[in-house]
Amino acid sequence: MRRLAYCLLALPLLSQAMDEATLKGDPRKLAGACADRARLLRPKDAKMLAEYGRAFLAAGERAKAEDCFQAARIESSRDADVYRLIAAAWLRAGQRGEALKAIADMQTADPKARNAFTRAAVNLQDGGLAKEADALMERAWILDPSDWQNCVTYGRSCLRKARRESAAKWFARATQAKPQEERMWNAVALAYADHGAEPS
Amino acid sequence: MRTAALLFLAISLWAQAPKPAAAAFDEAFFNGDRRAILEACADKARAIKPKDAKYLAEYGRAYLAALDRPKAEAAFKEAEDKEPKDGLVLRLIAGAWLKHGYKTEALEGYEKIVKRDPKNKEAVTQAAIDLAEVGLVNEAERYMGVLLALEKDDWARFVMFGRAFLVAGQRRKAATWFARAAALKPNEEKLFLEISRAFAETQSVM
Repeated sequence: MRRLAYCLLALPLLSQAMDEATLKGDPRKLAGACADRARLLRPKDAKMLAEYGRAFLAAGERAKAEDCFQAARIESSRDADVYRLIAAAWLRAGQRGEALKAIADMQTADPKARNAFTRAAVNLQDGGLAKEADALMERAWILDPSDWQNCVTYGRSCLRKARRESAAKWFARATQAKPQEERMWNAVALAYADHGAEPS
Repeated sequence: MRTAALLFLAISLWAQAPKPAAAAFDEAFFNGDRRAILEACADKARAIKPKDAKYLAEYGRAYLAALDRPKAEAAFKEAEDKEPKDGLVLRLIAGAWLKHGYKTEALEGYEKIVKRDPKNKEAVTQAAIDLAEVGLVNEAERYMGVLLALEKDDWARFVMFGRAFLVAGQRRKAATWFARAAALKPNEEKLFLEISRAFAETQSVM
């Protein structure tokens, strides 16, 4: 019955066109409206659900965001990256407590997900939580010290936040991990060339 | 006899000369001068396997960032000689010039894509995005037009164009591309997610 009501509610929304005039409107409302549209179409993929949550948070719709995050967790309860996306969404909304809780849940859900840990450490760093970011990245590195890509990714984010000494530590680790890897040297050079800006 | 003496002298001088110390890529090195790091890393990468044209183009970008234009040009030339008709290599070179403020060189570089690899949709798309993101609207639209002539229904690329215009603060231009994409695929979940993400990431909505 509830599902039917939901479908009936969705029909008028789906039949509305999203034209140029609409898309020139308030960006906050647009982020929420697009997430509404997307969610009504096929709300199954956990990562997408987490991203809709982020759009709802951006639109100031916390209740809808929390629904999405909950649905995402139910859909993929062991996927560390889903928890990371939820944490990143909270971080962007300035909700550090909620973000750190999601990061803790991520580590419980999959304690060996070093790539997700690295991405989460970058998110924490970009969100201004450098100490927490360093601790999480250290954990990722212990899981596989030979993973130069993760070291470069994190070093790059350190450069972005003008943390030269931390960046140096991670780039040095990358070069120790794979000194004969052309791609590694290239990645380090480009990180400095871009001042750590996110790669396009 | 005199030549031989000179040769011996040169050899003994060379033997006595202090050898340039190889960079020890440790924390201290990476805490040092940014230009030196850039140059040393690009040198090191080139020395290992200077075969791939795309990498060569990227080393060129690192040299440009290190303000070593002659080395950058040498790397770009080598890349272009290896793959003169590869639009993605040409775009990397043009993008490197653009990122470092060399507009004329960049525009000449992008033009090569249209001349030499005109059907490379990815390269044309990336060229348009590069130019839109830095606010070169007319130039960007020219490449968007090239892409439209190749592919009229590619909503994903249209969303990318819209996002690039958002990055440059061109809301109206962005809206045109988003609306075009939405009209093509009104029931595509990813399309709306991407548009919502573009607004969330590029506009002050937080």
